[in-house]
Amino acid sequence: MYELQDVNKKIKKSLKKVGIGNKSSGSYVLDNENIFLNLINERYKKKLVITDIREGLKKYPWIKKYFWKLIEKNENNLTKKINNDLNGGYFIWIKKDAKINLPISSCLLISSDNYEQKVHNLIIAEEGSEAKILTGCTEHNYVNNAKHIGLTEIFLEKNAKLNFTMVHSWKEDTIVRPITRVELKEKSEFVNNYVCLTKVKDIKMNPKIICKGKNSKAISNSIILSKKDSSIDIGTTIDLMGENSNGEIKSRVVGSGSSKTIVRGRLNGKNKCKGHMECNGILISKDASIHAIPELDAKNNKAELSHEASVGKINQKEIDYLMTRGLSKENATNLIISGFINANFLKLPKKIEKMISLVFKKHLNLTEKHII
Amino acid sequence: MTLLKIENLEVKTEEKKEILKNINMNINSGEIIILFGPNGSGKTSLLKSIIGLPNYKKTKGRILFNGKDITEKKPNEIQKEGIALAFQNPPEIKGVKLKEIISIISKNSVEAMHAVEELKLKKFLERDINVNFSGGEKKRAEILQLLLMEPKLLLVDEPDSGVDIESMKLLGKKINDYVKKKKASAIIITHQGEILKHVKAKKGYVMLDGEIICSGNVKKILRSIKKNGYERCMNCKMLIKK
Ligand SMILES: Nc1ncnc2c1ncn2[C@@H]1O[C@H](COP(=O)(O)OP(=O)(O)OP(=O)(O)O)[C@@H](O)[C@H]1O
Ligand SMILES: [Mg+2]
Repeated sequence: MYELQDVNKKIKKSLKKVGIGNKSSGSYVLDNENIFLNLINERYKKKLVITDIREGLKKYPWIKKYFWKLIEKNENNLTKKINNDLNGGYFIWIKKDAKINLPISSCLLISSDNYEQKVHNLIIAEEGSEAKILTGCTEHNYVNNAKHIGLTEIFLEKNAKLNFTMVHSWKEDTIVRPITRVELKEKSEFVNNYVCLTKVKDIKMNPKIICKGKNSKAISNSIILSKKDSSIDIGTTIDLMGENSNGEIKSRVVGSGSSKTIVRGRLNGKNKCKGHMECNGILISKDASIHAIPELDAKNNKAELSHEASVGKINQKEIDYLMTRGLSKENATNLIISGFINANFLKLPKKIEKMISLVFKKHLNLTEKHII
Repeated sequence: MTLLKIENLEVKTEEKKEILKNINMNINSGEIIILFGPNGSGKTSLLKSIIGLPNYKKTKGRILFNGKDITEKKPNEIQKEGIALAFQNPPEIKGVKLKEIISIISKNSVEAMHAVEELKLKKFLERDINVNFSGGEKKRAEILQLLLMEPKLLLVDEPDSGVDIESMKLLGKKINDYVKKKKASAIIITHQGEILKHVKAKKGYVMLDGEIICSGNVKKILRSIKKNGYERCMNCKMLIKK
């Protein structure tokens, strides 16, 4: 067992921002294009491979058949950029039947101004394996005008279970473009969690999860606290192709300041399948906006798809109530919001939930200027 | 000694609807008073106005607590002065546990846990406040919070509605013991007067259409209401003349 104690202080601080730093089964930290840290816990050495994608492609040539499988190199400008000038990324290989209890942690850091980081990550979860990946992206406090472009391809083989939790903590002027594609084989289960609690200049993403196998199941949760003048456009698309496949999309959004948030969700029912979507938003300032766009597309008459959405103000009665308990308006709002975007909604193992809750606490300090 | 003094209070809602008028009231330290009145007569509005909820705009008059003008103060400031309200219909707050609120309001965690056990709420600590609580459970949670805030003035909105006999006895005793021990005062709203079996109250007030129309011996008032309903109150001899 090791902790990230040998990591220099600055980086450690950055990692803490995204909830990484506790005991892990393995870690990968990329700083610009340099591999800063790549460790695997002794206990899991036979079950798990974590390495830089550039090394991975050399050492395990068979992974080439997965690399660029779920998206075309020429799909758009971003994929073209990644293909032309790759700065790194992780390759995580969870071997057959491996049960990895401790989270695998990865972090992509940017440490210089005006840097455009282009990464390509690959995750292969073999048959019957179980793992949790906690990934955070952040940059050092002194970095300005960074841009992060990250492509992640994830494969779940038969009966594999994977929880993929991404916590973003970018600086205010960062532009973020993550592209995620996931393929699920028979009876595999994928949980995708996305958490963003800091202001970002501009983030756009819409991961696509393809439930290809029979009885495969995908859950996608997002928790977003839009601050100041953040511009956030996030969503999830789940393709339900396999017979009896199951998809669930849930999002909780808090809009403060003059932030603009678009939350998308799309369930494509292409077989006998079930899908449900829930989007709840709270606006706590008069200049913030939340635009929920839930879409259901059934191409099979045995597809059962549903959605519910709500966007509105925080309930005044709840604030009044807590104020009679002695809380100021700001503290009452904080308490209600922290309940609304509770980490427990992500259905994470208790340990990770605790870590993420700490990150939440730090960012949930809404003061008068955030609230009406 | 006067603890709470309400002078000529008029209250309107956000929509400018008048819901309270000509309210005058005097409550001494150590005194429990009972507020009667038919549905919609303004009892809850009066308590909410005292605690300073923003929907209840005070357009005339003033409220003095311990000689201090609290008319324009916010609920959290009024709570700090020593007034606490147990809601008739408390809101459900998803994601906020009863435990969290208890830890925010209680001054002494050992005493708090003791009160939690006495009010049979231990099982509910981990639950979201009031979410799917039964009627009686909500009342117990309200009284628990009320007492933990250690107020000098308790505002208790229908503690005996929808509560079983045993719980009512428990709640009544807790309120009465607290008032006695701390020499606190209380305004209690009741319809049936069941709570009167367990708390020592002498004075009663009757509200009708947003006004206090009479005050007097609580037992006499209750007897009269039970016998004649509120219609008679209109012409009753105890009627307060302006
Ligand atoms: N915030 C508000 N906005 C508009 N109308 C209100 C508001 N609060 C109370 N009212 C109205 O004022 C009147 C008095 O309501 P209140 O709740 O004080 O009655 P009450 O005496 O407590 O009745 P009950 O015995 O049914 O509890 C009612 O007609 C009610 O609809
Ligand atoms: Mg009432």
